[in-house]
This record gives sequence, structure tokens and C-alpha cells, in this order.
Amino acid sequence: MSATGTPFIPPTAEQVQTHLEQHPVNPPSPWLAWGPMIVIGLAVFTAVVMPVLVLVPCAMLIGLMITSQTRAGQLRRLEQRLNRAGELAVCRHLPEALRLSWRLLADATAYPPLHQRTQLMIGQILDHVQAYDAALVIYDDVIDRMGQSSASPTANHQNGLADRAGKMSPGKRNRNMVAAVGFTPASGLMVLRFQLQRALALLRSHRLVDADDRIRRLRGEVESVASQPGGAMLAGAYRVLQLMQAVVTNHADDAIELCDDLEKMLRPLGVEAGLGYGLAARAYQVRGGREGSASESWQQAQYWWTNATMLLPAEELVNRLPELQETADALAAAPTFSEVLHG
Amino acid sequence: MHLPQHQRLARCCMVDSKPDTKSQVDLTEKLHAKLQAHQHATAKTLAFDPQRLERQLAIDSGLRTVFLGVLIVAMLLIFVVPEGVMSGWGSLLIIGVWLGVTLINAQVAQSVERITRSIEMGLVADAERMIASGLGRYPLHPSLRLTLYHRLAVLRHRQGRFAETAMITHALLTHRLGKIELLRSHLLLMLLESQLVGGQMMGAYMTMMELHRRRLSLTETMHLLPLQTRYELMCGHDQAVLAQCDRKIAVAELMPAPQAGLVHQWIGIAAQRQGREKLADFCQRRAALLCDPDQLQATSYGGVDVIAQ
Repeated sequence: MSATGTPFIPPTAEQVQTHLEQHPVNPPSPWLAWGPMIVIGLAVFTAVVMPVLVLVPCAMLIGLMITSQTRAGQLRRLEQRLNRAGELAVCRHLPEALRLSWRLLADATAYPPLHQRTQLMIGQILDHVQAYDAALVIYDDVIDRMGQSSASPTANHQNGLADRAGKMSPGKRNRNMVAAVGFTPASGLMVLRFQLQRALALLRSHRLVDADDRIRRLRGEVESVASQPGGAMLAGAYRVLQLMQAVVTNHADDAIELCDDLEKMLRPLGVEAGLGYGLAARAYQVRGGREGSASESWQQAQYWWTNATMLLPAEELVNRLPELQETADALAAAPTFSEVLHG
Repeated sequence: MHLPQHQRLARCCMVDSKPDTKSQVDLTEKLHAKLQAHQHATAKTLAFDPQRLERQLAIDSGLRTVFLGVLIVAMLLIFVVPEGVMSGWGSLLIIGVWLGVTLINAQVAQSVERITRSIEMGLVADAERMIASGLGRYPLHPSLRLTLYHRLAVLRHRQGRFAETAMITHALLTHRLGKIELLRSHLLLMLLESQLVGGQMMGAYMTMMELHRRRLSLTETMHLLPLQTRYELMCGHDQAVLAQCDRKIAVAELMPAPQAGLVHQWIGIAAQRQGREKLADFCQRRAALLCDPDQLQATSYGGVDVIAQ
């Protein structure tokens, strides 16, 4: 980690791996869960067998209350730190957010769900700062562990439904939840979301064969959740992933085939849809380059580039995907908000 | 064996399941749709009564006082007859009372998380049942009872029953929230939206002032922005909508697409009214990219119909 004031250098994959190994999830001992019952049992025993020691049971109960209050307070403070890191990340103060969550990981080892959320936060921040290899270490670790609870996100979601319908035995449910390190059976969409991010990171780190394999595998999963609440956003993210794969591998015609209902598909992504439109523009620009600058493809490229730059500045698009530099040079961007406001 | 109807429905859906993806997809959709349809059909409404809330809090307080009295009596018993049989029974009484009260509160506290999850998943009947069950337990810690009522307000808000939401949030805000003081901003935001939907502009103004006096988190700021924009637009304060427009747009970009689209749409309307055509055009084009036309016309969140008049 760089100190404040010095240029920010994201951690390498090795550093992330070492940090994860140094601070693994260390769930509290089962004895700790039984601790309150043991203390109460001892207090009852003392009260019945040794009534002379009248203050001992009272002291035990007071001690128990203080311990549980302290633990609850500690968890609350850790959650506040994670929320703060999340806010910093949303506001794009990425170095500070990463610094905070990096330290938090070491302090959250005793709280598996919080530890996992912190890991995912670090993964997303690394994604944003384009440290894709390092992000992959996080995604692989988390997704593999989450995947232990179920074979697929769809199955995971069905577990949640079956659980609510009373079909799953409490034992099986608990085993699944423990295996998922705190994630509920209904968190299938979240697993899928991070699988998409992992595929994107693979693509951006030029591991194209692995990325292709992941993208193919995810198709069925994404289609199965597309109609559910929150699924439309995943379907949009998957479409961007497909577009990026086609553009990165120079299959412009494949990318153009994905542009039919692009606006409808990408709307749930908010301003992030700009990247998808930028990729569509790039695909049409490549085709337009073959057909000539007066062609319909060229006009389409301009249309999509205008949409893209309406949502995200051209510099931001190029920063995220250097392949778009040529498109940014060749096509006119939409006016920025600042130009509109002061123009 | 008699199973509840939603379990039988789920079981019927599970019978023909096959391991291939297609049937897995169908199965998920069937289960989800049937469970939700059944829950909507059988949802019992939990009516809110402010007097009931006061009564419940008074009973909680009374019972806690009684238990405290019992504890004091037990302690006295122990000290007055220190070496007698009574001291053992006194200790047992203390443990029993403490354990009973703690267990009740722990069970209800655990159900709060399940209620939140049910609300998020749209399982209204589940949420209603758990809230009703929790509210029926005594004695609860005041912050726990108020948390249950907060969840009831969230549920009503999600259901679009804004009059009830306003009633619950208003009642809760008159109490000291203690440990759950962090929920006050959320309560105020729900109250503000309910007041806007009900056209209570003076009340909305007061609530907004209260919110501005508080230190809000980023998420709360993101919730406040569309509500305040909508208020200003409804009151015809177009210049206020356009003030610090760049900051508002920056916050809107962090929101989910539908809300972001609505904020753009409203800023566009204000800009149009003020004759700033370029800005209006820019905002409306962006709104069209963020929301589909149906979402922009929807009144559930934004009251676009009120603004359009």
C-alpha cells in the first residue's frame, strides 16, 4: 500500500494472495457458540450446589452480558468501516477505499460474512483500478468457496425457494450456509454477479481461452435469472461481456449481431451502459472501415458512440478499454455535461 | 400430514423436476411465481394503531420494572438469608428471569433479519406474519420493538401504501430511538416520500428541513435527491432544481438506472421551464437512455403526472 501523497500502486496478485493467506477466515470456535449455555449451566450449578457463593452466579451473568455487548459493538464498528469503504469506492476514492478494506480484512477474520464482503469489496476496487490479475485472485477464492454450497447459482436460488417452502431440512440448510461462509441460499444472483466480474477480469487480463469458457458456461445461468428481480441487470452485464469478447477478439460482425435490442438490454446498467454502447460503436466502426465512411455502418457507429459518450466521457471509456481509442479519435463525442451547462 | 398450502405448491412444482437446465429454469420460475402469488393471495394485513404502539411500549416498560423488582427482591433474599436454602433459590430466580427475558429478545432479534430478507424478496405474507409474531412478544427492549415497527413501515412503503407508511414513521419519530437512532434518517426519507405522494407539501418541507439538519450517508443522500427534486418541481421552484445541477447529476449517476433516469427527466423539465433548451435536451436524452418510456411515465416513484400538469 502506498502512503498518502505518494502515487497509488495497486497490489499485485502475489501480494493479494499473501494477504489472503495471512488473514484467512477464522470462524469462532464452536465452544464459543456454546459459551453462554455453559456459563448459564455453571451459574445454575453454583446456585444449587454451593448456595453460599451467592455472588458467583450473578458475576457470571454480568460477565456474559459484558462479553456479548463487547462482541456486538466490535462487529458494529467493523461494519461501519466496511460501509465507509463502500462509500469511498462508490465515490471513486479508490486508493482510500482499498486501503481501508485491506486493513479491515485483517480485523474481520473472526466474522466470516464480513470477511467475505470485505474480500469482494477489495476485488471490485482492484477491478476498477484495472489490477485484473489481483482481482482474479479474490474472485477465484470467494467464488470457489461460495460454490461449495451449491453446484450453480440457479441451484442455489432453488435451494432458497425450497428452503422457504419448507422442503430443505434444517441440517442441510445449515450445512449449506456454513459452506457458503455466511451467504444465504438465496444469494444466487450475487454469486452470478461475481462470476460475471471474474469472466470480465479474465478477458481484460487477456486470458481469452479461460474467459471464453467462463462466458459460455454462464449463458444458461444468466438466461435462467433474467426474468427475476435483479436479473435484468445481470443479463445486461452479460451482454457487455459478450460485446467485449467479440471486440477484443476482432469479431466485429459477431458484436454487431448483439446490438439488436442493445438499449433495452443495457438500460438497467445505468451510466455503465456507456461501455456497452462504446463497444457497439467500435464494432460498427470496424465494419464501417471496410465499407467506407459514408456507409450505414459508419452512421451506426456514430449513433452508438454518441449514446456511449452521453453516459460516460470518452476519456473514461478509453481508460477502461484502450481498444476504444481509435473510435474516440474517429467519431464525434456527445457534448459533456459541463459543456452543456456552461455553453 | 397437512402441509401449509405454499409448501404443497412448492412440492407439486418439485415433483417433475429434471436435472437439465431448461427444467431447472422452469422450476425456479414456477416456484417463485406460485409462492409469490400464493403469498399475495393470503396476505393478512397488519393494521397499525399508534395507541397500540404506546400500549405495547408501556407494557414492555411495566414488565421490565416488575422483573427488575423481582431481581431486587431475589438479591435481598440472598443477602438477608445468606447461608440458607433461600439464597440458592434466589440465585436461580435471578438466572431464570434473566434467561427468559434474554431468550425472548434474542428470538425476536433473530427474526428481524429474516423479515428484512422476506421484504426484499417480496414475500409479504411471511414478513407480515413474522412482524405480527414479534410484536406479540413481551417484554421487548424498546429499540427492538421500534425496529419491528420500522420494518412494518418499510413493508408498507414497498407495497405503495403510503398513508400507512406516513402514519407509522410519524409515530416512530416521536419516540427516542436510542440504539437505533441511525434509522431516523431512513424513517424521515420514507415519511418525506409518503407526504409527497399525499400532496402534503408543508409536512414534506418540514421533513426535508429535518433531513438537512442531519448528517446523511451517501445512500441516504442518494435517496433524498430525487425526493427533494420532486418536491421543488411540484412547488414550481425550477431554479432550485437547477441549482448545483452538476453535483446533482453526479449523485444521480450513482443511483440505480430508474431513479437516475427520473432525476434527469425532472432536471430536464425544470430546464425546459426555465428556457434552457440545451440542458433540457441533454437531460431528456440521458433520461431516455437510463429509463424506458414506461418507467418514465410510472407514478409509483416519481409522481410524473403531477409534475406534467
